[in-house]
Amino acid sequence: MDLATNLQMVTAGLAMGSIYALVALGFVLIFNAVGVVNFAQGEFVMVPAFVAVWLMDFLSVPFPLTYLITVLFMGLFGIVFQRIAYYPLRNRTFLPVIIATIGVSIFLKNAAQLVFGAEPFLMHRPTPADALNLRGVFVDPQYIVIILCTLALLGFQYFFFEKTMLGKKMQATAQDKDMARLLGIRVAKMIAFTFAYSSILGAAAGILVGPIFYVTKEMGGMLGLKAFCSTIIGGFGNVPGAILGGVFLGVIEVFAAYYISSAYRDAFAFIILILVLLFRPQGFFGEKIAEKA
Amino acid sequence: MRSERRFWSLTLTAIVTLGLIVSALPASAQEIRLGFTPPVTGASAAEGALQLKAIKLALKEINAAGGVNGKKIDLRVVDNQSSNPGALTALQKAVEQEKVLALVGSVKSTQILAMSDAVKTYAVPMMIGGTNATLTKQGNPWLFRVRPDDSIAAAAMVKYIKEDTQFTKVGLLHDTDAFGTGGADLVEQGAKAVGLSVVKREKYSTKEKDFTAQLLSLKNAGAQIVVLYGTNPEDVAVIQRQYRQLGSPFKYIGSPSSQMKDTLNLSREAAEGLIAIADFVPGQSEVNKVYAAAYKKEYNEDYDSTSAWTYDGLNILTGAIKKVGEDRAKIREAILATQGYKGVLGTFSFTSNGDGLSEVSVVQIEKGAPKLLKIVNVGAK
Repeated sequence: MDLATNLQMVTAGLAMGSIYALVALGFVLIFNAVGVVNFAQGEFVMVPAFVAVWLMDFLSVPFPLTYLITVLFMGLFGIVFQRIAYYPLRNRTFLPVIIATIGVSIFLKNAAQLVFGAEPFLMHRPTPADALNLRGVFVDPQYIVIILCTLALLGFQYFFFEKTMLGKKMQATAQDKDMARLLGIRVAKMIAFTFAYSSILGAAAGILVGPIFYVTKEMGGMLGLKAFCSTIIGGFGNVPGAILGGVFLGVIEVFAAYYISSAYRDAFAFIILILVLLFRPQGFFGEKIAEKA
Repeated sequence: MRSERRFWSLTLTAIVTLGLIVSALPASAQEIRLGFTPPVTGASAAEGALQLKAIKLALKEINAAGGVNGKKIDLRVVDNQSSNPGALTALQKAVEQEKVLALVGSVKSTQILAMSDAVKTYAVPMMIGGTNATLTKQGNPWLFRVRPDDSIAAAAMVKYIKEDTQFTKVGLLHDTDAFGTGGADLVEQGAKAVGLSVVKREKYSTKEKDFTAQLLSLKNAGAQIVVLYGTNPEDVAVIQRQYRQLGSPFKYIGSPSSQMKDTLNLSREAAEGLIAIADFVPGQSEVNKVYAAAYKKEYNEDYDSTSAWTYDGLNILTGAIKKVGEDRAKIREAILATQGYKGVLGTFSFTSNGDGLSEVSVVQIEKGAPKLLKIVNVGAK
């Protein structure tokens, strides 16, 4: 098969994979902080997309300002979300919290339909709609933006968690809440920050995919599911694992659709998930200790 | 005092008796009673309201022109509650209580299936708008379809590629749902039957977001023209855009979803110049223009293209009654004998199965709206 085709698919795969990675990262950060899988993670992508569409389409707010407002809004949204779905249930087992996140997810989807209707929206593109022609390889500029933004966010995240005091406090909270509390870290606040950060990652994903996905109340569903697969493939609870798992899944999907069968494109993610669970349940990057997290 | 009470009770009895007698009559001698079973309540209530507007326009015109054979048409509307059981109940009510001579049924194929057996038992003519191709091929002689069925679009695409283009290598891209798969099957069979080669068949599942793999595969297989059989407007819009971004590597012809308003609102300039199939294009014929003007005058808004079938349905039905009178078996024959009737949706020529339309329009997207290229008639099947 010719090089141009393969390169084209790699770009598409990397772009989709980057989005999976961003959402997967949101999953992992929350899981590490509170030991709960947040099933509303997909809606963390849908909500900012609608906010951005509303700002741009209905209020004619320019691009940079829209992005800024959306990110700030989602930061706040994350804090409110944890206050509703996690905080009142924090001293119970993980199950009520999971159910609460599912509840919020259903609520958000229906609220979106109530406010915006069932018709999909088109989000304005910050990039030209025409594909770049790189020596016969046609690439959507938005794909490149997605890949670059994801890389930048990962760089920022590394810096934030490793080099700043706030990041270190959040990490300490995720590693051992009791110890962190004994050291004078305000655990509840750190957890709220983690939710806010996870929600901001969702905002980034929503803004980035909005122009190519179209914005609907269902847009987060499949994304959330694929991202969840990514985290398991990479090793649940493992940050680099979630990122690489997402990218791996995105690329594999495109190639499997091309070389094996396009009808079962979505199924490959789950086939890989099952294979990983069967043969390497700790994931690619997971440690071989059962139930450490 | 006593006699007064007696007088009132007698009067009341008389009124009630008279009322019973009147309501039990099949129809008064001055009127022909017909039925219509739209969704007035439930999920499709909005569609139902539009269908009512269209059919009431036809009713008004018919009665204003003196009715049918000197009798006014009395149209009884019975709600089908947007459901299959509701459709069956509505049919029973229309036939048994309202004593209608014939009726205009539903636009939903599943509701028509639910009503089908009862229609056959009552032996009552029913005009339908459902497009599932098998509806009229199940041995029920009382169903008359006034829209092009789903197989017509597939046949028209093949005919268009064969007769109006030079292309011989056809690619297929379709949704894996029943509609997309069924449509693509028909295109593939049809293309092979007329000597076109199908070089590649690609699929996608509803709500997929990246179609790079499928489009590249079609391109590399050497497809000159690709038939897209999609269902969901969002998917089709993404495909149209990614097709453009890959440099339009082949010609594109799409099923009706490719020219739907929802799709074009999303794909915008990416859809410009693409070819697609439409049931009909507003303004494609004189009848259509007259209807548009009359509708605008009556309701002060543009007509809805998906409910105009009720207008044609009632007109064809009353046209048949005009010819043969109020006999269901004769009405059936008269509807089947309707040939070359010019309606809003196109030129109706009924087949022995009861399919009224075997033509669709090939359109090109221009400035965000479908523009008629030609009307393709695929003949009786």
